[in-house]
This record gives sequence, C-alpha cells and structure tokens, in this order.
Amino acid sequence: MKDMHDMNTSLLEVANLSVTLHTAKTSVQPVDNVSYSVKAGEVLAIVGESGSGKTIMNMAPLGLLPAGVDSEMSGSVRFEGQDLLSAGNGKLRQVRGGEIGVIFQDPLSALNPVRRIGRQIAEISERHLGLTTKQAEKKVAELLALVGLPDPLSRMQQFPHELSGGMRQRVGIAMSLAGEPKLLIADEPTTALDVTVQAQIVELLKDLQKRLRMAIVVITHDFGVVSGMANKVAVMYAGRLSELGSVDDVLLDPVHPYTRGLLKSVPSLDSEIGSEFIGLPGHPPDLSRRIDGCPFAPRCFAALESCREHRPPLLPVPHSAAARVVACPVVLNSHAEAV
Amino acid sequence: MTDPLLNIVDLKTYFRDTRTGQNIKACDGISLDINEGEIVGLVGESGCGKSTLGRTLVGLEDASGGEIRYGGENLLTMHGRKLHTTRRKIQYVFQDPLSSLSGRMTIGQAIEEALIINGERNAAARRARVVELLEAVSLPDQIAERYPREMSGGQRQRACIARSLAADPKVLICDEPVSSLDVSIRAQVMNLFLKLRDEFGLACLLIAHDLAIVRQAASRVYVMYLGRIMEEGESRALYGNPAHPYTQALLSAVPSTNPVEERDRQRILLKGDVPSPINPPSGCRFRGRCPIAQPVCETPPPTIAVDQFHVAACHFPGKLALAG
Amino acid sequence: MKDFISTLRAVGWPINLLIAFFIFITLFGSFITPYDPNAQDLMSALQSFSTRHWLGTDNLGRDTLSRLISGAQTTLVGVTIILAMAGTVGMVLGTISGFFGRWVDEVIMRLVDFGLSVPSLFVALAIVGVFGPSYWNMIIALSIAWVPIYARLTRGVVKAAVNQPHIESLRVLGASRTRIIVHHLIPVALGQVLIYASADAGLLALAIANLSFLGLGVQPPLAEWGQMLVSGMPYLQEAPRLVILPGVALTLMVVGFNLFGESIALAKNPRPLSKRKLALRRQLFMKEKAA
Repeated sequence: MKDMHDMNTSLLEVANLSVTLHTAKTSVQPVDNVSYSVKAGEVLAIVGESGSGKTIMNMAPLGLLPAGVDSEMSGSVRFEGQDLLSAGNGKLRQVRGGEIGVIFQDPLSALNPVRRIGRQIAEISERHLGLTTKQAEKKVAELLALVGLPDPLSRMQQFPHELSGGMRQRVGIAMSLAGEPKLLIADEPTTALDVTVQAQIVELLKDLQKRLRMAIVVITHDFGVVSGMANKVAVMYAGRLSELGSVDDVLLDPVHPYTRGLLKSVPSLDSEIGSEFIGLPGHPPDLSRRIDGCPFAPRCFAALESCREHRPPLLPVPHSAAARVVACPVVLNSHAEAV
Repeated sequence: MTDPLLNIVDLKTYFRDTRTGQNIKACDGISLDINEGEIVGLVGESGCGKSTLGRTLVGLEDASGGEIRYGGENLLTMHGRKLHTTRRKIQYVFQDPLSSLSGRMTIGQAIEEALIINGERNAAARRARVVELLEAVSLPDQIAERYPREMSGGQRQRACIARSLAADPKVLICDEPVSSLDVSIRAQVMNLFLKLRDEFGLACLLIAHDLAIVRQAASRVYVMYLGRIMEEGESRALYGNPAHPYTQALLSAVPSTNPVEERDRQRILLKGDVPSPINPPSGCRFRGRCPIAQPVCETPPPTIAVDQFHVAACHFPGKLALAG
Repeated sequence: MKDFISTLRAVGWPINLLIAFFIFITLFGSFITPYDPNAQDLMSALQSFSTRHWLGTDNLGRDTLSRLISGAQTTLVGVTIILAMAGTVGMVLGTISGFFGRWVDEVIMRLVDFGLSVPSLFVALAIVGVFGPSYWNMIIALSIAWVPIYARLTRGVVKAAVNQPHIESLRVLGASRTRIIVHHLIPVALGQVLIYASADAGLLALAIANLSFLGLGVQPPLAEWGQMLVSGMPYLQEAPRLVILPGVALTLMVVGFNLFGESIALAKNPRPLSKRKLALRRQLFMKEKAA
C-alpha cells in the first residue's frame, strides 16, 4: 500500500534504463539497466567516477548528447507519468528548460558569449511560461536576486565574460530556474569552482530547493556535495547501480565494497598527517566489452569466484529502510550475519 | 639547521595586461623554503598566483624580481650551461597528464627523449634506465610500448613523473597533480610522492586547492591569497590552530563526507569576490573580504608567530571566532 | 599507415580514384601518350574523334589526348614544385614567428599580412611582369605569392602548440630550441600544411592555367591546359572540343583536389553514422553481447 502511494507521487520514475552509444569505431553501453525514482521535493545525488555513466544517464533521455554520437535507449523514463523516451523532439524541447531545468558543469559553455545575460534568461521564461517581454524582464531581475547576485538590474545588461566563475554559476542556476521547473538536474554544479565558492553554491541550491519545493538530481563525484545537500544517494559503477539509499545510511554505513572504497579514498581533515593515502586498486572496466559478472569484481577485496560469473542483483539490505538496495550478495550475506 | 635546498626570497612575477598596459601582480613578494626530502604544500584558490609561482620556479614564466636560490646560488642571475644544468634539478608535474605527453610518442620514447636531453648517449643504457624509471613509479615495463591515450589517468600521471625523474631532479614542483584524476586512483599518485621522498630524498612542492590532500602529504604548508603568503607553518600546527581569517574560512569550507556533521556545521561564508591582482588592496590583501577587518588593516600586516611552529601575516591572528 | 587508410576511406572512393588517376598520368604519362604531344602533322590538322586520334587533333595536327596527358604532367609537376617551395619557406617563417613571438612575430606577420591582402594572382602577375614570362619565372612567382598563406597557417599551429603542456614539459626538461622545433613543432605543422596543400593544389592548377592563358606562364610548344584553351579559341566554331576538353580536365582537377583536401580535413571530425553503418554497429554489438 505504501509502495503504491510512493509510485503515485514520484516525479521522475526511471525503470530499467539502458543507453547504448554507437560511434564509427565502437559501441559502448554506459548505462546498463538502471532503475530509480525521485519524489517531488527530494534531492537525489548520483555519485560515480568518470565513465560511470552518471551524466549520460541523465542527459540522454533529455536529448542532450554531443554531436556525432548515436544513442539507443531502452526501458522507460517517466516524468509526471509521461515517458520521455517515446516523446517527440517537440515535447522534449518543451520539458527541457521548462519543467525540467538543467545546470551544467561549465556555466560558460551554457551561455551565449555575445548576448546580454538578462535577455538570455528572459527568453526562456517567454518561451516556457508565455510571459511578455516586460513580465519576463521583471522575472529575470527576481531570479538574479534569488540566486544572490548583487545589483541584478545592472547585471542583466552584462555579458557572460564579465562575471567571475561563482557569479557565472549563479547565472547558470538562475537560467535553469527561468522555466519554473519541478525538477532540476545539476551536472557537477560545483566541480569548476573553488572550495569557498563551492560552499556558497551548495548553500544556495539547498535554500532554493526548500523555497521553490523543487526536486533536484545532482550528478557529482564529490561526496562533500552529496553529504551537503542530498536526501538520497545512488552510487554508480561502470554503468550500473551499485548502491541506493538514504544519504545517512549510505554515507555513514556503506555496504557495497565500491562505496566503501570510494568513501575511504576521500582524504579528510581528520586523517593522520604523513600517512599513506587509501585508494582502490586497478581501474574501471572497458565498457565496450561485455561484462559477465560484477563489474567491480577485479578491484574488490570481497570478490568470490561466483562474482565474475553472474551479474549481482540489486537486493534490499536487511534490517534497513525499505528503499535501500545494494548489488552485492556477498557483502549482504555477511552484513546480515553481523547485524 | 642546514640551509634549505630551494630558498625563494621575495619573488615577484608580474604580467603585462596588453589592454591597459598595467602590471598584473600574480606573485607579489613570495618567500618560501623547501628542504631536501621534504613535501611542502602550497594552497589557495584559483587565481591566487600559486600556479604562477610554480611556473616561475621552473622557468616557464620570467620572474620580475626577488631570488630563487638552489643550493645557495641564485638561479635568476645564472647563465648559460650552469643555469641549464641547475634548472634541470627542479622538475615540474602538470595537472593534466594527457596533454603534457606527446600523443605521437610511446611512453618509452618520451622517457628516452628526456634521457637524451639529459645527455645519455648510449642507447642500451637508455633503455635499461627507462625500465628502472618505470619501476620507480610502479609501472610494468610493457607500458613503455603504449601511447598515452591507451593508458588510464593514474598510469599517465605516473608516466609523466617517471619522465621528470629522467632529469635526476632534487625537487618536483607538482601543480594540482591529482585534481584531474578520479578519487579512487588519486592515492596511487599521492603515495608515489611519499615513496619518492622516502627512497630518493626527493623534495616536493605540492600546489593544490584540496586542503585535505595537502594536509595529509605535506609536513609544512603555505597559504596563498592574491599573490601573497597569508599563513605558513607545520601542517599539524597550521591545520590544528589556523590563525589567519582566510585560512579559517578556507578550512571551514572543506566539506565532510559525514552528512550529520555537514548539516549542523558553521561556515565562514566570505563576501564578494577576489579583487583584481592589477590593483590589489593596500595593506592586508584580504581586508576587503575579511569578517574582522579594522582600519589598521590598511597598513601592511606584521608577520606574527602564532605558536612555535607557525606564523601568520595578520594584524589580528586568531581573533576570528567561529560562531557556535 | 592505418590512419592514412582510414582517412582515405573517409574521403570516399570517387575522389580517391580521380586523384590517383591524376597522379598516375603525371608519373607515367610519357609512356602512355599515343603520340609525341609536340609532333606536328599539318596533314591531319583539326581532325575530330577517330580511332587514330581518340580525342582528335588541334590546328597543328597534334594529338589532343597526348597533349591533355602531357598538360596534366606540366601542371602537376609545377604545382608540386610550387607547393614544396612555398610550403617550406612558409613553414620556416611561420615556425620562427610562432616560436619566438614578440618583435620577430610582429615583423614577419606584418609582411605576411601585406602578402595576404594582395590577391596572390596579382603578386604573381607583377613578378612575371617584371622578370618576363617563362616557365621558371612563373613557378618562382607563384611560390612567392603562396608563401604568406603557409606562413600564417604554420604560425597558428605552432603558436597553439608552444603553450601546450607537452612542449612546456620539454622546456622544463632542458630540451634545446632546435630539438623542440625540429622534433615536435615541425611534425605537427607539417600535418596541417599537407592537409591544406592537398586542397590548395587545385587552386594552384587554376593559377598556372590562368597565367598560361594570359601568355605569362608556360610557353609554347610545351603542352599546358591554359595554353590549349587559348590556342583552341579561334576554332571555337568548327572544333569546340579544343576548348571544352582542356576546360573539363582543368575543372576536374580543381574540384577534385578541393574535395580531396576538404574531406581529409573533415575526416578528423566525428560525424553521425549513416543508417547503414548504424545498423551494422548495432548488429555487431548484439553479437558481442550474446557471445
């Protein structure tokens, strides 16, 4: 009964999504049978290293892929009940920038260098909300004030290169909000920024999320961002989900060997000065090859012979919140014994 | 106490802004020591001049003033052959290993070229040395046959370090050596620096924006802001008891992976942006953004010993209290 | 070698065949011409297509096919010499300019700008005008006129490469300037220059024909297409093939080399797969997965 209710309030429902990319030389499958959901007002962090497929998983269904790449998708991505994979380009354009806002890693690449900031943002409000030029300009001034740009009216007249990195990202955020989205997809929103600015942007996103009651999917490799703003975390490795659960569960008590190793690899201000750094051995697998068992097995301390043969299913963690799943039967067994 | 291996005194690197003709003061009076076999950290945000400092040390930028003393002799007044041989003792590790290797050469060829430059004429000796160098950075010798694009990021960075080692350096200047790498493989490269220090006594200037990484690796740390050093000292003392408001703000911004801690932590959120290095503020460079700035901060800040192990360039060191 | 073949594949076979054909007749043309291209035979002047003279004869009874083949040789040999000279001098100037920068760059680039601001053909015309029309004067004139383009191209490539970490790391290792320039900058520049030159060959062929048409380039009796056009003009009414045939040959060469060079340059960019290739890839991927 509870599950039914959850299903109904899910804003974004991704089920068995696989993405295959074909280029002239090879085919790779950066997303392999992934399912997750985002409820209204929830912040989901998708964590993974480069090549884990986290960006493509979010951008491909929205039709945002680099030129020259052919993609093939299966499964379903439902936004408010409507499948985005079967939606036409027109519908996608309407959703993208409107009900789903997107923040890019490099705010400069998302802005047109030769047009004034105010106009660029206003255009989005005009298109998606049907505002007049006057109304849109007023809305832009409000948005720029909302993201904490001092003196928004004169900022609207500026060009992107006249702003600092932090200011640009604020403009990028304002732009993603211009269509009054219900869901914000933020792709590495703080990676290009310094620590002090990064802290400001995380605060801002958290604050906006509360005030506008949006859902956010934040794609990141930085556990600092995850712990700072997410409710829920999905950990990805080699195109597959390895662990999914609430932020407190996953970060404080990681179960999957990959999540554990990754968390230990993050140096903290509490680690011993002069001590050896902890990392994971080896490197991620080649996604253009077929992976039979668990993709993490070659780097895993707990791997058994069977791990290399069968793909581990996502199983619920015993004695834990219902929403918590892990793709590692080996650790789950010992975990169950320990509890 | 022995003399430091690398002794930098009041180093200045200015660039000319071609549009206005004014000087951009990227490094404006930096003094810094690196002892033999020591890992020294240099932290600061982008645009503070920390990369420029590193590039000046290896001659990629021209210094505008000051001294760079290696083994007691000033590199900036040295010429010809002597400069050439001394310079090689200071090597540089770039942020992006892929672009710092030629795509048309295998790793073996790249390292061999570095050996040729270093004066090794015997081809057999060179090949033997390539294997040794690869071993020193824990890479299998088959890697010599590979092209950079056929390797993982961590392997590439280690190959770059192997190539630098071909010049028999005493100091490595590492500019963000792991920031382009994935979190799980950063340890491979960071531990290599520790190993090179322990086995060959190689000193290292670790330039990075990640305060946690620097803290763990470096025995001493310099904090840089807008072309000047704000605070310096032993890692334990500086991180344990930061005295400069800028250092405190930086440290308070470092995120933790613990969501419970993260929820109720206090941050010092700095106002405004870093000012332009063309016309930096008089006196303390940080005063425009400092939460506890006073009128006296318009005069140059004194260098005050915070404790036995570290100093801060501030009128009011340790006076900024974290609320809560 | 693998790169070379995959680039040719991306260019497309019709263009490759055309270029290969031109290169073949340049190398072996002298062996396949049915007649001496300069042998006059007034008895059989202005003949139309026949089994003896496949493409007929001109007003002096010379075999048109033989002259066309010989003309291709004249043009392509000229083009090759000019590109080699202009390319070499341009690369040296451009490399010096890009590597040393500052005032050296200023001086060389102002000269290059001047050279580029005047149409190349005018420069060539002026030089031929001063030294008189002859084959070698034309070659030298066109070489000088074409130098600025290659200097500018090389300078851009070198300037971009000089500030890249892989060149900077060589400087830190203590590599000499000569080593950096010869081993690292020139090879990069050479690649770009060759790509550009392959497209430029067509334009140069046209320039040679232009000068010869005006009587300032290749001198009779040496066979050359521009020349053949001029000498065919008076017979336009009775024997239009004398004008049309060299015209078509010239067009094929200009368009062929242009397409060739452009396709090579574009082959470096990723393109969406064609429907057929995409289906193939998909099949292959499914097979790999199932295996």
